[in-house]
Amino acid sequence: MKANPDFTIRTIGDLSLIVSLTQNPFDRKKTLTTNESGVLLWQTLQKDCTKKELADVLQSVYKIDERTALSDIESFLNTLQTIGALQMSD
Amino acid sequence: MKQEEILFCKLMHLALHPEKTSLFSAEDISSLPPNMDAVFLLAKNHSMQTAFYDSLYQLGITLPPSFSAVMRKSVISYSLGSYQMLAFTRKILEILSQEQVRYILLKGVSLLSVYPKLEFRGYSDVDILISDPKEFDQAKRRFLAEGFLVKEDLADHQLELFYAEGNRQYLLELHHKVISSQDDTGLNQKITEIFSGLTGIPDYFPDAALNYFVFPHTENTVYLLLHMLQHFLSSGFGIRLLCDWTAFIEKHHDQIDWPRYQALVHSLGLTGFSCAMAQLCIRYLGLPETDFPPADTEKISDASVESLMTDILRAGEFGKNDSSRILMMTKGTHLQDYLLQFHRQMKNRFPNAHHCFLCWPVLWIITGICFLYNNRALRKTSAKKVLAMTKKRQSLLQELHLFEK
Repeated sequence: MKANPDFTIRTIGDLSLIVSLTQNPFDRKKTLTTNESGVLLWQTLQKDCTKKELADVLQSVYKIDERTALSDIESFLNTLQTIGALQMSD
Repeated sequence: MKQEEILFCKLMHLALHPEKTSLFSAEDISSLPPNMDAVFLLAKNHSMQTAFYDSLYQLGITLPPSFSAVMRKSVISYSLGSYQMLAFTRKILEILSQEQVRYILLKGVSLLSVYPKLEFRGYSDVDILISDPKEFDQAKRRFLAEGFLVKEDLADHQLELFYAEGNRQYLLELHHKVISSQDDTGLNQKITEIFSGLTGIPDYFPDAALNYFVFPHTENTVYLLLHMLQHFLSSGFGIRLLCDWTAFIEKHHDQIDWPRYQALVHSLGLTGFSCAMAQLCIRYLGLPETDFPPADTEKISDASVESLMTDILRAGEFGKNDSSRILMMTKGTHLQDYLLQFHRQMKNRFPNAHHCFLCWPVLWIITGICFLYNNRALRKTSAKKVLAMTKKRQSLLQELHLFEK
């Protein structure tokens, strides 16, 4: 899976928002406000990757166990999928 | 100027030039926390919360948790609003493209590309100029067919159309003239000569992959100045319009035909106003002095520059902060000037009926009643205060030598 190239991350101060500016949504729910770890995952998703690879990235930075990492990733990916920001591999 | 006003200007200067953190001395940085509420209020009143928040981050200022939470909510809401406006603009441009109507996109999205971040520049409506009357009607019919609704409006230069999507209403201002008619008929004529029939140049906003047409850069510089003038002569304008002009000139200064700009501004009698705005942008927002013709930056006194900036900061965006600001008198403040202004307000209120001069007495009475009612019920002020503020701001006008050639 990877990030939908129509979506981008916008940073204002320490705030990060994932939004599509080319497929602009009238619906505010089609954007995602995220934190530092979300930014890291989004950057990793610029290339095709698996959940395990995403978990490895989180674990290397935040010193959390694999189970916690996978749980956080699941939640993040679900939200990305809901707003259309995720492309699943064939 | 008050300390919070100086700090606010510096934060806006930094927002437009993020590399310039050295603009802030150690003393400035230590002054920010005790003045934070007042500076944030200024940012809100001028719709510049996002730029304000980003600048604080650039300076490494740690915000108290409760304040930070309020700020973050404001910035997120503001940014989401910006993205919705992008969607609305895209819809309008698609319709105009399908209709093959010649248009100019005024301000709004066309200015986003000159800012370091598009979220810094909020806007609450989309302004489109269509000079050709047939194409204007064609576009209007199409917008109405698409579900836009006309708002009953008193402006003589534009038609306001509302569009509802989700739980929000969006505003399209369809202009057939660039700004509303001013007191000076020569000015109005000259503006028409400069802008009507002007062919737009293609422009592109890469962040949103949006194509549109704008005024050529020289005329756009004049237009942005005129837009400031229009609001200055009404209830005022906020720092956002100065930020627009600063960022626009900085980006395009080598594409602007400066001798032509000076000639156009001179023909409009706006050299003094142009000088003043340039001085404000140079002194308070970091516009490089070399980006503006040197002769034009010398004409206004330091004290007048500061008075102007204070007036702008205290007004808030479009003078919203002060309900006693509603108009300026460009020709003087004698009784006949007030009567002429009153007559002009009647003509604006009754764009069709005023052609019948037999109706004038009735129309004058209605205009007077509306003026008194609006002051009390809507603006929560009195006619006396409105007239007192008008007289006070007149002294600023005199400094600008408006319409003198």
